[in-house]
Amino acid sequence: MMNQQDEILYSKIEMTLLRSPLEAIVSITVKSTEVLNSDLALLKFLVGEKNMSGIVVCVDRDYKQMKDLIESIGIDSESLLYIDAVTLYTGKELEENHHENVFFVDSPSNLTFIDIGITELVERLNGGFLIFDCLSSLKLYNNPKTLGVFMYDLASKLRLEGVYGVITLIEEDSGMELHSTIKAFCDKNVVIKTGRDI
Amino acid sequence: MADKINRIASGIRGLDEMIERGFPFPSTILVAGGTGTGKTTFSMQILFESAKQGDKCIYFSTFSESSKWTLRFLSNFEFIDESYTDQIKFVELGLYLRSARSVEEILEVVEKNIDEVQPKKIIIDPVSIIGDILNKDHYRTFLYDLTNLTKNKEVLTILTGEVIPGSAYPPTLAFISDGVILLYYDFEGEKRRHRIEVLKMRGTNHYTGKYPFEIDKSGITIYPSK
Amino acid sequence: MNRVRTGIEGVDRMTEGGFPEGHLIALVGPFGAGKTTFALQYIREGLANGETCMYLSLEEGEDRLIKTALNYGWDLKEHIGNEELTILKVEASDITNSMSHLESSFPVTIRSIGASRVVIDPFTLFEMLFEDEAKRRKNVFDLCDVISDTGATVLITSEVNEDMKGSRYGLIEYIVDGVILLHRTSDDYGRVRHSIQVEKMRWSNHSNEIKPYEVTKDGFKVYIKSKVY
Repeated sequence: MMNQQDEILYSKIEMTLLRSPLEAIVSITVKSTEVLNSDLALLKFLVGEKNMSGIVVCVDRDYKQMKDLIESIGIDSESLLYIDAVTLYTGKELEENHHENVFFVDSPSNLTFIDIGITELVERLNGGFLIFDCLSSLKLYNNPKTLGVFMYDLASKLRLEGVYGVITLIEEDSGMELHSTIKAFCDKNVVIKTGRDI
Repeated sequence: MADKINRIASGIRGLDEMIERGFPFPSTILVAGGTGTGKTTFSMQILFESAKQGDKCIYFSTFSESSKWTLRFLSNFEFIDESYTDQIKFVELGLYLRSARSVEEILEVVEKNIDEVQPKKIIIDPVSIIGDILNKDHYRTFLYDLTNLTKNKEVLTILTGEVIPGSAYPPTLAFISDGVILLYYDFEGEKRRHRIEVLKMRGTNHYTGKYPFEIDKSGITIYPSK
Repeated sequence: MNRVRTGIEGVDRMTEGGFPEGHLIALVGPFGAGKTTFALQYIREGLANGETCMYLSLEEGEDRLIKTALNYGWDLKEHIGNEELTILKVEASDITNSMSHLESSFPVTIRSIGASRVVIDPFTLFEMLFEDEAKRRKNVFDLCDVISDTGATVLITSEVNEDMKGSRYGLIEYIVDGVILLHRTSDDYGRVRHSIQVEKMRWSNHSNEIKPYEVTKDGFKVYIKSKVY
């Protein structure tokens, strides 16, 4: 049995996302403390409920940690594709047979290669979705203007390829120009308040 | 993709078209809306149409007033047919609620009646009153246990819920339900204009957005093509 | 205008199908940018296409080049054996001794071998022979003239000048028919980023965009669908 805040989160996602075929890129605004929960609820909905496959861009956690978290909510992590911008950055050596569903990027500041990785993985998808874990951390490694251009280009690319993009924004950063820029090109912007105080 | 889900016709004109031919079965469906939006009419019509098809049903009323009052109010509708009232058992759950001390006691009443009647469909109208009586955690436990119970017994459960002005839908109810239907109305001059929206229906490629419906003597008719 | 496929997918896309046949293309880039890899891949494409090729090397010896190619999985020895590929190492002494000798011997060699695809790597060493700018200009111009008369599609590699935006002497850009620029930049975090740009390509509606590239274990790879951030 989930707790009430998780229910609210999941319900809102379940009832506002994927409402129309014209909806290609959406933003979800949550409190900073809810970002991981929101990502997991999203995956639960898109994979568990809607049977979609997709790409998770890992900036906060390496792909292995992400997979563990995904498995912990009962979703099959093997069916997803990952961009890992963490493992190499932390100086870890890549194992000989690293997972074939993972594209490694040397650093979260290397937007060029995150883009290259996304381009390659999208070709393997045939529709599906893309989410970031999380966009906010990319802000630490890239200047907002460049990041804005990157997100805009990415949205165009996802639209062309028929990939459903969900961008999670942080409520506390709502005043940022980057946020308004992103919301302006999204087809739908959802705000979720779970009322959870941590 | 082949529809592997069992479906059961709703009995409301226009609704099945919106939900790929019927409710998934078994499942729990929430019908929510403010006062006067037609929830009781909606759920009663489902029950009577079901009875006409030969199914047994149970109507659990949580109001403290007796179901007979509800029936009297609804008797103007053509779908209320006295000859089918044998197929439908009316249970005054409201009476038990006043003295119930625990979630288990309430569930016991529900289960006992289901075992006795072996219904295809049941309605709990409105379920929110149970929420008023139990504390928040117990209410959630009750709802989880109820959905499990009815799923195991292979019964379609319709819960009606009050929507508090200002909030879109009751969150926990929405979450535990397999389907959520919202009823609205606004005014077009002097006339009430009713609309229905299927917010979710698990496993179903349902219509999204609001669609008009009318309530007249024959009951509710939805116009999903408008 | 016939096009000669370069063997590097992104580059062919950026140049409407490849290099214009029979003409001179310069690949300009800093040390370590991958010019030799590019040149070897260009040759490999020609060999796969059944063309006779010639690699005029002013720095690396034949053995080194064969070894480098093998790293990418390209076996050049076989082609040298059946004379589809000729690797000619031009010694420093050859160059310093006589430029006019080179001017006549190069084209003769190319013609006698029947090469349709030629690489001169790096071309800069010729330019360096002349202290005097006017002399340099004249001699390089004449050399390029006789080379392009052979009808082969020639790729010359060039070192960059100090600001890394053009060739060492700023000269060959004017003489050749196409210029591909390799950029090597450091981002704010000290990481090296490689990018490629078609600066000029006569008779082509070429893309002016800067695209990211990498020298991977399979060779020179341009990510045509991405951009540089």
